[in-house]
Formats: sequence, C-alpha cells, structure tokens
Amino acid sequence: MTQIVKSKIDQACRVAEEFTKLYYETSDKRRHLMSKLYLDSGLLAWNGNGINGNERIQKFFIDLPTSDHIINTLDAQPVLDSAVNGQLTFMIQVSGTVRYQDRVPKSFQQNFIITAQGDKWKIVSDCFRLQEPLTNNDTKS
Amino acid sequence: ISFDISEEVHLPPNLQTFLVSQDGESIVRQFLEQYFTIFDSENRQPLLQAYHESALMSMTMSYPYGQRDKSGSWLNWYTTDNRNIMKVQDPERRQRLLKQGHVAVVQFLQEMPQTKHDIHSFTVDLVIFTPQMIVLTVTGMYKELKTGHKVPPTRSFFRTLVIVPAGTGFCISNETLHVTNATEDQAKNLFKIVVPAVPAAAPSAPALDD
Repeated sequence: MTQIVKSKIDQACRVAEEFTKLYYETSDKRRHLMSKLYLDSGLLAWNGNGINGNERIQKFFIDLPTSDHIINTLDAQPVLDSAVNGQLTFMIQVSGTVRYQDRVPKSFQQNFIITAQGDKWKIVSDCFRLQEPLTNNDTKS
Repeated sequence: ISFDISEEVHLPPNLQTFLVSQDGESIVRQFLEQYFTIFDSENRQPLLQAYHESALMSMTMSYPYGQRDKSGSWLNWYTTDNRNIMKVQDPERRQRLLKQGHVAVVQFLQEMPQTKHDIHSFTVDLVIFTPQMIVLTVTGMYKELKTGHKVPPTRSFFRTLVIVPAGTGFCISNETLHVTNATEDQAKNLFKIVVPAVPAAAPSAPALDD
C-alpha cells in the first residue's frame, strides 16, 4: 500500500514536469492545439471566468492577447483514491509570471487536475488566477 | 494611418467567484468560514477532523514579480518546506516534503506562523462539484502575526483543496498551498471591503477589526 502511494508520488512529479512544459509552450506558441490538452468536458476557470468544454476553451485562448509564461515553482501530488475511485488523477500546482502582449509581467498561480484517459493525460479542471487586486480589472500596468 | 490588426486585445475582467454549480455555494461558504476561523485561532489542532486520514498536503513559496525590497517581508519561514520540484530533484526529498496523513498535515499547519485572514479579499473558484469529489481554489491575503517582523507582513496565498464526503460531512483529501507576498496594489485593500464577500451573503466570522 505505502509502496503504491510512493510510486504514485514519484509519477505525479514526473508527469507534472512534462505536462507543464507542454501546456505553457502550447498556450504561448500553438494555441490552436489547446483543446487537445483538455477532456471534452474539461473546465477552465480563468480569473473567475468559467469556460466549459474543450472547444470553448480553445476559442477562449485564441481570443487572449499573446502570452509569455515563466514558471517559478511547480508541485504535484496524486489525488487520493477515495476521491477518484482508483482512476489515476494528479493535482498540479504552478506559480510564475506571465506577460500579455507588451504589458508589464504579472505573477500568476494555477492549479490543474489531470487524469489518465486511455494513454493520454487530460485536464479535468484548470484554475488560473493573476495576482492582482480585485478591483483592478484589465489594466495595462 | 495604421493597420487594423494592431489594436490592443483586452484581458477578460477579474471576477471574485466562479461556481461550477450553485448547489455548492452554501457548502463552500460554510466550509471556508469554519476552516479559516480555526486556522486563525491559537490552536489549529481541531483541523485534524477536517482532513482525511491519508490526506496529502504540500506547500510552495515565491516572491511576486518585481518585488525588490523584501527586507520587511522575507518569506524565510516558508523556505524549509518549499516543495518546488523544479529545484527539489531528489525523489526522497520530494517524498519527505509532501505531508502524508492527517497527523503530519496538521502538525505542519500548527507550526505555520499565526495568521489573520481577510475573508473579504478571498476569491473562490469551485471547479469540480460532484457527489464523490469537490475541488475548490481559494486565494486571498492574510497578515502574519508574531513572527518577529517589525510590521506584520501581508501575504498572498493560493490554496487548492480536494474535498471528499466523509460520514455525514466532508474532509480534505488533498491540498496544495502557495504562499507569496502581497503586491503593494493588493495590500492597499487589506481588511477593506472592496466588493461583496464570498459568495453572495457575507460571512460573519472571523472578526476583521485589528
């Protein structure tokens, strides 16, 4: 039992490294492929805006200003079986900075739940938050 | 004369709350009120009941972009347990930095600096809400108390909880916490109600007077 948990923890970390590399490369450079990273029914919560389904998520990304992400921290764990009925599922936590178009970079934090679907990892939920005051909507600074 | 496609693209507005299901609202509100009331108290031990016996919890920390003068707000306490796997390559250390089991989790929470969270600064994203599993991300600010800083530092956090049913209630099965300093712009709003609190009806606790 303990050995199973241990190997899942190792695996969560390795998958998180590969996944985040791919995710941020795709969102910065190949946005037309974003939908492939999500389950058909995947969910994106982007700064409190909820977008349901991988097709809509794809469109949402295409409408965003161009981005450049730099990752500072990464963390990952296996989600307990009692939550996911044995379906291999990981939680991934990221922090970093993002620059939109030519604006001043901002800190962001993001959390993913990803799950194994066949031989592919897919995003179940993706929660993104810019680190900014609540009243400060879409400023250039 | 310029070209049509050079116009600036705007970012969507930032919204305080997203709920994948309205049914989750009261559970989430109740849970957060209870959790942070205990978390801000002198004794965090009662949180033991809030965690699954096999719960997993880990923390990362970083400084916000562009913060040069850190002197008043070093995040030193958080560096020891910073499970940033970009830096921590050794599998054994990755294992050790993950708190495993509710006793280890609460022991770690107990050791964290004393805090006073500003519940009105919270954002809430409820991204999964099914009978088997709830996933919730909370961000916000807290003041760190009694850690020897001349002025209590203002931290900004991002915390994701996986919550599962347990008996007649719920417990946390997984948690990640990210701690950073509040930016100057954020800190201006600390303990000032900017927009109605999370979500809809204002929670009564904890008390926000200094």
